[in-house]
Amino acid sequence: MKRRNVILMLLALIFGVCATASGKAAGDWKWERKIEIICPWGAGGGADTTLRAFTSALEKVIGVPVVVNNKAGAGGVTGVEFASKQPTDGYTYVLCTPSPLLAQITGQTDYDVYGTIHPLTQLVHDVNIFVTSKDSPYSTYEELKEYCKKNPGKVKCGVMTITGLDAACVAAAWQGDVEAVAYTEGAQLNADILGGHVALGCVGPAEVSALIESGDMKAILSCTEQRLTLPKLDKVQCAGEVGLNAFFGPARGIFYIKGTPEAALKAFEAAAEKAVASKEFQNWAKEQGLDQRPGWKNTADYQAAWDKDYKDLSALFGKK
Amino acid sequence: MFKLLVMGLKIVLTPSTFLLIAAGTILGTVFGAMPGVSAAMAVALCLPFAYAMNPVVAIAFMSSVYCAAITGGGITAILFKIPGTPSNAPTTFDGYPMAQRGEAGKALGYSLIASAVGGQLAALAMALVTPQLANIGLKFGPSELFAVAFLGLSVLSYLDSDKMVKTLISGLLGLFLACVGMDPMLGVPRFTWGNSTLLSGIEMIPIMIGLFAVTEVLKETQDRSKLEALDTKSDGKMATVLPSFLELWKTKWTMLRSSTLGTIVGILPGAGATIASFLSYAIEKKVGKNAKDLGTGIPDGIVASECANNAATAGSMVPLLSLGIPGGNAAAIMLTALVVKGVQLGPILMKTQPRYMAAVFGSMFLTNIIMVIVSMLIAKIFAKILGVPYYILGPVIIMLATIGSYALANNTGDVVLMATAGIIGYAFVKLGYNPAALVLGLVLGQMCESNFRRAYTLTNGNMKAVFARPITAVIVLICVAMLLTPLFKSLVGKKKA
Repeated sequence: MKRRNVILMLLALIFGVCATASGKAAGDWKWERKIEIICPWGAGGGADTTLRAFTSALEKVIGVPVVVNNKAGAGGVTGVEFASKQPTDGYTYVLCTPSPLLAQITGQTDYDVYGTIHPLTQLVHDVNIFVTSKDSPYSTYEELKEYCKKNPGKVKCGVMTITGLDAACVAAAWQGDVEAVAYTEGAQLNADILGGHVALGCVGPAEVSALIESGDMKAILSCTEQRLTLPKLDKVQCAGEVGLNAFFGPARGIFYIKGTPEAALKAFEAAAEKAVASKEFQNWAKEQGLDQRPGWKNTADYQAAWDKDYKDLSALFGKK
Repeated sequence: MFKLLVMGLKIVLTPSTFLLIAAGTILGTVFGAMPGVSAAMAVALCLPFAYAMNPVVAIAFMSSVYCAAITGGGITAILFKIPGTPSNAPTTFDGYPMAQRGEAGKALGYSLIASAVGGQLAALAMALVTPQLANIGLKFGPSELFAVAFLGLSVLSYLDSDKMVKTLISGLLGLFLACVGMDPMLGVPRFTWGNSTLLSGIEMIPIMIGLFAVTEVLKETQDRSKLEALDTKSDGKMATVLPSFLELWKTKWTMLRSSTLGTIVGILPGAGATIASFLSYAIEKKVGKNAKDLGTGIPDGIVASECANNAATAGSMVPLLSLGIPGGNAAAIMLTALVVKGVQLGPILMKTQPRYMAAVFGSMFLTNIIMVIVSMLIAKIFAKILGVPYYILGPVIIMLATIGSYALANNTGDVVLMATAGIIGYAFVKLGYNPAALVLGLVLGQMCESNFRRAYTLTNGNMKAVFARPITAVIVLICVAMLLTPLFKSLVGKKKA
């Protein structure tokens, strides 16, 4: 009995020392050189802009340069795949949204996005809104529904990916009255809405806020549970208000590849929390209309949300 | 409007801003001359500097980088047949043959002046009539953009009229390569054979470098007599020879046509400097005074390409400044920089803060002047390589091509793509097929396909409605007339005989 106790005590001691040592290492992680965050989309879009605003704030917290590396292509899959081939030494991360996950779910790619990258921290949770040209004969959800009844098949809505979150919003909000049309570039979609070539667009508020403010575009519906509080959009009906289950919006966050040191992940999570909470980032997020939904999520919460997205989107789009 | 011009010059002539624009011009020209670094990439590389600047100065600085990068790309296109940026590819068609004849200096001179004139004319147009220009851009929807791309493709029938069938086959192969990747409308993979790298499609830059530069080295290596001629011609003392006023005057219509076309194509979201230069070359091949000799090494070809791509840089700033919609990739990066700085570009900004617009105009005006001097110096450095014997120069070109292809995405796959394209290009030349036609198909294929399918969907599959739009109808009629002209000519010729 005594002997067993001694062994147990010794084991506990060894375990304790190990735990303390690893805990110490986590707290001791020092950033020694530049960090690289891969952006799987091109410069100028919502993901890139968010990442650049974040890295600018993160640099100040972390004390080393944080560079953005744009690796666009294949709806984000190229960038994720590129990130997976980088050394997992704690100095390379990747920004992601549910879009590459959707590419896997819908069978566009055989690449295992879900199994390759792991959520670290969520930065922002953007929303989608429906916009139209100032000259359109409808200004509200009901008016557009009425217009669709009188002109079946006439109203089309521009989206960035036909199997993306924006296309899911179109399907959920207009229930077959409006067909989604894919645009490869946001710039062309906005120009086509202004020029009256396409009736509707499903976009992020930041991309069109200047055009809404100038009166060249008007918003019809926001894909949110509650009305937006943004200027010029606070009077726009929201999906929750008209009883529609159309709340999809891109959540953007930082991901890591398995094998990255635990201490680096903990240090990154702590620094990211401070960067996101900084006045600089918060002001920017507010200006961009990214304060409409809670943005920050720690590793545990983000992991749970990512798993839920995988489950929900798989149920919605079906694994092909 | 005069006020705006004065304001722009006042901003850019401040000593610190002037120095930054000069630095931006040098950086842009050097980046542009490096194969594989596109103009958009050059602007992205300069972003960290721009973050530290006042937003008005930042946009002036980035405009200078953008503008100079497009010009810098012409240097390697002429000297080594490596298009520095994709928009310089048509410059190789006439620039490189001129360099082979020992007229590299003259070709560079034409390229620099054409770039400056194109940039200046477009900047002037931008300063004077931006709102109206932006409205023109809005009139171009999917069906009109399809027609523009189709107009570019119709030049396939003119590229090499002696080998019409082989040229068309080359063009179709380019169109096929443009189909590889994710379907732009349905989001399903096409011709990727399960390879996720191919999901993003075939990269244009390694293909261009392979087809032009690598093929050329393979060709030169086999043709011994030509190698000796090259060796004796270049002694490394090549200097840029600026064309005389009279020589330039001879290309006035080409300059005017290409600048106008470049500005308009630059304004269209979804198009850009690459499409502008290809389209301009195509139009020149059809309506130019020396259309028949185009491709053999005449200044008109260089002028058409370089005028248009520089005009497109200014053109792409029009929707950015007046609507907050970037006209191309580089303009999109500038938008990012300004958004991060808290500037919200859009119609209101132009009314409330015309300083941004004035700064861009002033910067482009100044850059187009500094650029000529900077490019002449950089060209001189690059030209030193020309004096090296070809058995060394050949591998140096292959090395530059490899670095350029790899630098694009730090990806060895692109180097393999370049090498494959080089071998295919060599086979093309030997068998009488046309590499330029393949590139044309690849550049315009995606724009042509996605816009046609978009227009078709928007009209619920009504083909008549797609073609009935006035701008589309006019452009398509021009295409048909141009496609039928050779047939008509041959018929008339036969009757006379």
